[in-house]
Amino acid sequence: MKTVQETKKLIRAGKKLVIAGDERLLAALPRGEWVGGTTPYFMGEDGGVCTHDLLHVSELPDSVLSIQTRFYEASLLHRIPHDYQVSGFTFIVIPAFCEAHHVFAKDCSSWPDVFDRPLVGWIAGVDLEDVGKVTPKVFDGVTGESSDTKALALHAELPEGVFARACIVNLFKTGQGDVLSFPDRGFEVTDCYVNDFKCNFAQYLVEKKIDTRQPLVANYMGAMVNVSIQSVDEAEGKVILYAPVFPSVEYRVAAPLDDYEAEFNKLVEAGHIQKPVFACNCLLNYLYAHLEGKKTGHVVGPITFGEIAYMLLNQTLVYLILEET
Amino acid sequence: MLPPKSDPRWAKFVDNLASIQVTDLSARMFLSRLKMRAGAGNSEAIKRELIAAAYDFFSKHETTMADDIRHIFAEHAGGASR
Repeated sequence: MKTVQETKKLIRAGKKLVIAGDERLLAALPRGEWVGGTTPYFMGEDGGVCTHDLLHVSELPDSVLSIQTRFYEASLLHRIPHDYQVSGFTFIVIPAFCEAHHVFAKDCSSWPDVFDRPLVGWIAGVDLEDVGKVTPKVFDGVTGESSDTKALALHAELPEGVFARACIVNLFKTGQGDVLSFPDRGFEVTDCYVNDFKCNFAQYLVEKKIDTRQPLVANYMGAMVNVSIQSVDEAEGKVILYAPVFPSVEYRVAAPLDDYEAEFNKLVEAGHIQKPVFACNCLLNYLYAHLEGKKTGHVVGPITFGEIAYMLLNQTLVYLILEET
Repeated sequence: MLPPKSDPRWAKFVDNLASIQVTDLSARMFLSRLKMRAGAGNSEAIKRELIAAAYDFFSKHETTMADDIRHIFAEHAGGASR
């Protein structure tokens, strides 16, 4: 974690940076080769923390040859893969709750060539006490612009022989319960199929006494992808999710996770998580697993309103590593 | 090395899509998308479309996904499991 003054020094030194923090701090930074997004929640060096006074700064290694930044309105998000570097990776930061957030979540996995380069990032958020009062924002340090409606991408160029890899750590596993599927794509769900029998999803969650802190988990050819439950309105028969569900995908409610910190640190100690260039983790993990003051090994970064590794994820740690061929 | 699109292993790859195992996250998500598309039907046109998409994807990642590619097209000729 860094102060504004420490961050200014890095910017003025010409470092290429991805910065997370309070809007007031990001707005105080000089122009330079950086992008930023708001959040007051972090995996800090001393553990999980909520602060409005410090920034988290991910410094891109010197092997990154160049960066290009660009804002994307919701209707132009599909052009992101067109702007991928020939060799490199792309960071994306999207303000929570805006149209671009929803369009990205629902459509990104169908964009041509989206999987051609590592695409990682996060959904910018605000202090939970400020939701509805203050909008999350993204900052382009190159141009000095900020936005609460557009996605911001940083396209990074790598030299021959160096490549980036997007990785995730999802400690949740599919439970042994019913197979759930959904007729429609979206964040807001009424109908679902439970083992192929149609029913109301809200009613199902209530009747089965499902702990809604456990996400729905889908198996994407070995990658476990979560969809977290935001709210259940039994009277209206409606469930609001933090990421969309998709037709043709089978979900199960996750098995309970007893001790996130211990399970995470087991992975770190086993050497399964290399030192990342960038990492972010989910606010729901911070809240439900009580990560304030708890360490996630050597992994530090923003705690976010959604994580991006090609697609929008929930309750998942996303990280990016660089490797040499 | 990636086999040419005409290689019969690609047809087996498409037929065994659901059981293929890869380690790279982008490959997992890409193959999931293919699997969903395969769910739309098993006509020859869809198979050709899936082969073309998979060939294009893996040819772009031939270096970084060498292990996954080798495994997919190894002795089991598609559908290999780890």
